[in-house]
Amino acid sequence: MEPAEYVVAHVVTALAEDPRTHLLGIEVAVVEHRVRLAGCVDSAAERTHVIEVVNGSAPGWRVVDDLVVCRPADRGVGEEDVLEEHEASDRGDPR
Amino acid sequence: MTVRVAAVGDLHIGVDGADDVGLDDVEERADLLLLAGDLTRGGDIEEAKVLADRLDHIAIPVVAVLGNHDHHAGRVPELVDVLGASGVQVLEGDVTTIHLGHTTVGIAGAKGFGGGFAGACATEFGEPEMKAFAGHTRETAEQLGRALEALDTDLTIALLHYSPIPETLVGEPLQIHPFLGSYLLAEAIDLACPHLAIHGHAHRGSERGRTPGGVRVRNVARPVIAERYRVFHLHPESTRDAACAAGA
Repeated sequence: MEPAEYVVAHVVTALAEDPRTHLLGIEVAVVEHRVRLAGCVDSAAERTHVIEVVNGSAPGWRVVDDLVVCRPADRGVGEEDVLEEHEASDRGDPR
Repeated sequence: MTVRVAAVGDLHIGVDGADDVGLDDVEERADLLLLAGDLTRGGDIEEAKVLADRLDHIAIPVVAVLGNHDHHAGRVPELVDVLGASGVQVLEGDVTTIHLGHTTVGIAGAKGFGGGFAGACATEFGEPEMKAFAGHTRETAEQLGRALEALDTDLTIALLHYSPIPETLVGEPLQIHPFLGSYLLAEAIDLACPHLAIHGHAHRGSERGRTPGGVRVRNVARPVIAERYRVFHLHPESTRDAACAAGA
């Protein structure tokens, strides 16, 4: 079986380069001989395309789909008053 | 006057994406909208048309830079035309001035590029491919610098896709930082000292940072802010960093 490092690399590359997806933000890992996918996609159709591309780039590997559909319209709107009180946090806020 | 600047990057609009891109109410909350690149998934014209259709009715000024995804299909001029027809002004090494009452807002925009940060950066040395990589970063940073220098407005904003600082990349693997931004962009920003610098591109990065010269930097990649968009309230009199302004 192909080493896990190469499988992850091939899947990440395929998700970026395949015109069905062109996605760079999907988390890809090999866990217990399975390819696990995590992260947000915009729609159910996008999720389907991701799975198709992963199956094509990692033949023979079982895919664990932990993707979440995060519809943009469901998110809120943030506000920030850009004033000096942000001085400390401006220096970096690791997420 | 307080100016409300809405900003978001990395919409990655596809033809099969969500019907609602989450910008419908932006004109009720902000005076202008900035889009920090990667508007489309692969730079396809049909994708640009989907976004243009969603932006067409927005009554406030919309200013954008393109990102690496928007360049993928090699159809940038057509993409810019499609967006322009819907009122989106796409900047690349140039500026626009927006008049909001008696306040003027100047925006200098450029995609930027990678190259890395001080102490760990690409240089124009060696193979032609490496010279081209590092040279493109230098050129886009010089364009940004000239654009910022040309602005004489009450508020100034630098709009980028790539990051000018490593602080807003915290969360991304260190190995890919050279593909996410360049210190040359920060150097150009610090020479002009705008009120705010905005970028996207780093989906796993952090929201806030400052250039070495003190200019506030915000990463508004949608996966980072986890919001439809972020609204920044800017005040011409108070938000420019004193130390930076003194040196500008």
